[in-house]
Amino acid sequence: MKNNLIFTLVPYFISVIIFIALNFYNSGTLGDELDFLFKILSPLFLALSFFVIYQAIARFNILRNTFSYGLFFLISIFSFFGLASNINGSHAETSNIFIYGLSFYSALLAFKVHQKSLKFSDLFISSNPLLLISGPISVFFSKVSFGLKKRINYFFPFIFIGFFFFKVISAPMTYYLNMVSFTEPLAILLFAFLFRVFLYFNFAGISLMIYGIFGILGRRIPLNFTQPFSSRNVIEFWRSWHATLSIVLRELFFLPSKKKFNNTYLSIFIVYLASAMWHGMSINFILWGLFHASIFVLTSYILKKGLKILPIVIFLFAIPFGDIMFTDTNIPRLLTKLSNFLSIDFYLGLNMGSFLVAILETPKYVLASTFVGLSIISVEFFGMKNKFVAKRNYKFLRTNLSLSMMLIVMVLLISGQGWEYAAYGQR
Amino acid sequence: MVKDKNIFIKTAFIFLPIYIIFLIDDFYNFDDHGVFQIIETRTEYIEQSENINSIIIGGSNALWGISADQLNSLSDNQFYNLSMHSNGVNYKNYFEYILKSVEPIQAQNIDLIIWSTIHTYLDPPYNDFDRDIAGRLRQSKLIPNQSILSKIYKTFTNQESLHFEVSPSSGDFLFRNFKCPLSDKRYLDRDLIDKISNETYQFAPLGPLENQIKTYKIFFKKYFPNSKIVYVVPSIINPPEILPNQLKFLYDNFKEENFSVLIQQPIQDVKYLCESSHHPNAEGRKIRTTEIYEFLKTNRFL
Repeated sequence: MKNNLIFTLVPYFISVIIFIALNFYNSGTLGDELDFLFKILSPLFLALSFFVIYQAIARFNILRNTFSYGLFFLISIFSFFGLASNINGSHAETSNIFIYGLSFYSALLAFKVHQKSLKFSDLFISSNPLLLISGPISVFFSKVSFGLKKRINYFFPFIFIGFFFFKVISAPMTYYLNMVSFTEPLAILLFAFLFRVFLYFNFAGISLMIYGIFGILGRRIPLNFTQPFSSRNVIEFWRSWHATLSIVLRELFFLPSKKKFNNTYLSIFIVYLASAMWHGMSINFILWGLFHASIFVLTSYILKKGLKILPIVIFLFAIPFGDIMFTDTNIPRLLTKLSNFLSIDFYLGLNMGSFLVAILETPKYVLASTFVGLSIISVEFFGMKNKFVAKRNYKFLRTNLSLSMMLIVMVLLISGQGWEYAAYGQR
Repeated sequence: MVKDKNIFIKTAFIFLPIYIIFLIDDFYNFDDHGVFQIIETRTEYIEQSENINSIIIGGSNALWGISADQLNSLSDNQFYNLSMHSNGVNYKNYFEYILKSVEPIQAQNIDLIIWSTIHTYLDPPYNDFDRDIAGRLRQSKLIPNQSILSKIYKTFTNQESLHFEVSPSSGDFLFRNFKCPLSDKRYLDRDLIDKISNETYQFAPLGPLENQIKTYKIFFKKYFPNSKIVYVVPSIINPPEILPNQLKFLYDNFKEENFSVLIQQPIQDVKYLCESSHHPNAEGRKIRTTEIYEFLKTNRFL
């Protein structure tokens, strides 16, 4: 018990110090309102409250299960009442300081409660301020057995790659978020595609930095992204994208519903609806969830038939098409966008107006970052036969040569243009 | 495959010094487009002027679109334009600038503030706390304002830099050396005209806008206790329809005795614009300012 506590408490306090330092770096001051103090204390206080409730009901299966689902959907409830932001690419930090980071720590607590494994020491993992910036949901938290020097050698490249992803590629790409208002089919698809690229480098970038920091501190946390664009179908893609959410969804929704209904496809729909509601309580997420559940089922069916190319085609189409729904919480505009795909102009005349304007008007610094991002994604996608790429742990970027090249590109491209925030975080 | 294990360290030894030298150059040779000159020009004038009792604040919409000079000629009040691009980049910069410009003793004498901000139509209100009032990044960020590649590109392509000027006696924007490609026949840009003609706005999300309004109201109450404040929703081209709940939001937020709201008429044609959808040209400014004057007169602010 005592060892467990020290094992989570020490990284917690170091994370608090790093978090304060990051806050200072970002704002230039420690903050007039001492926001960061609330950001640290409110998750800990709420997690402690949930722990006390768990202790009281742990013996009663029905109550415990209900509690775990309640915890998971807490962010959805807050989102439904407008108290928490939906994820839309823009900065989703909640304006309510008392529920800062709720989506991440409530998901972890839900997972642990459901597994009947929640311990007091877990509170310092669930409310660790670094893990609340953008996850991962730390479904495991184990010791890294090798010494400090080796840890630095192994984990520092993850921090560097994460910073490169986040700052050099994703920050300038925030420029594209204005394109959400476009309604011409080609421009919509372009935006949806670029949105996913932006989101990848933003979310994976922060996740890799956090992974590296914890690694150096001697704690192994899940690698939340495992080169998702190395996938060959949507099923693989979602397993390697925000992997820890998939683990939680599997534990809370897939396994119980499979057991109850004995129907895999129904369980898939339940999982995707739960995932949609976690991202935000808005019709667009529900549409997105239903769409991806259908694609998942379709892909699964095709894979069973032994076809290999068709799942790749579906994958390349489904991700951006799904993102058309994912990105737009303005429902009338979303419906216009979707109906434009049924317009004959799309297939005959191809109105390229805003598509071309969008490309021509894009500032060069944004294009440069996009090019670098697409190059990395291309290596992920086309380089699967290479042993470094095939490992799916960014080994191809962690070689000395790759790191040196990234350093040169970073020195040439890094600037204060674009926005820095965690697109998935702090809500 | 490169076997040299130290290649990363060697690369860092070569490129990081280059980066640091560039960082220093970038900070000290930052192109502020004349913002620091504007601050100096205004401060020098205000220091010698004791009669100012009305100020115009806000972002570039107010800088381009409201004339203190015109209001002075129409009324007995003495207006001065303290508006600044992007509302000073963040409210802290902007409040600091206003307070430095209008020292506390003068602040007591200010009895009317025209506050015109595009935040009503922005998503969300813009506050970048990493930058100073000219938009320059803090040195402690250790990141340049533009990349080395951008700098090289601009150097080789001789890109023209925009330069803003204001009139010392009113703080108003001076159009004399500024190109207006939406309306000036000498510099017309057809693509830009098409783009701006079709540009649309949305009403800002109410939560962040309310927070911004609250912050400004606290500032007004603390430093300009004797002042009445008119919140101006600026003229833009193609404004969104303001829905009943948004209208209610605006009036509810300014229902106190000292506050008032003016929702300006849309700009009817790009011929009244300079280079963006909310930057009028001299003619457009005249129209906007006249509407504000009429409002002030009708509501007995003057």
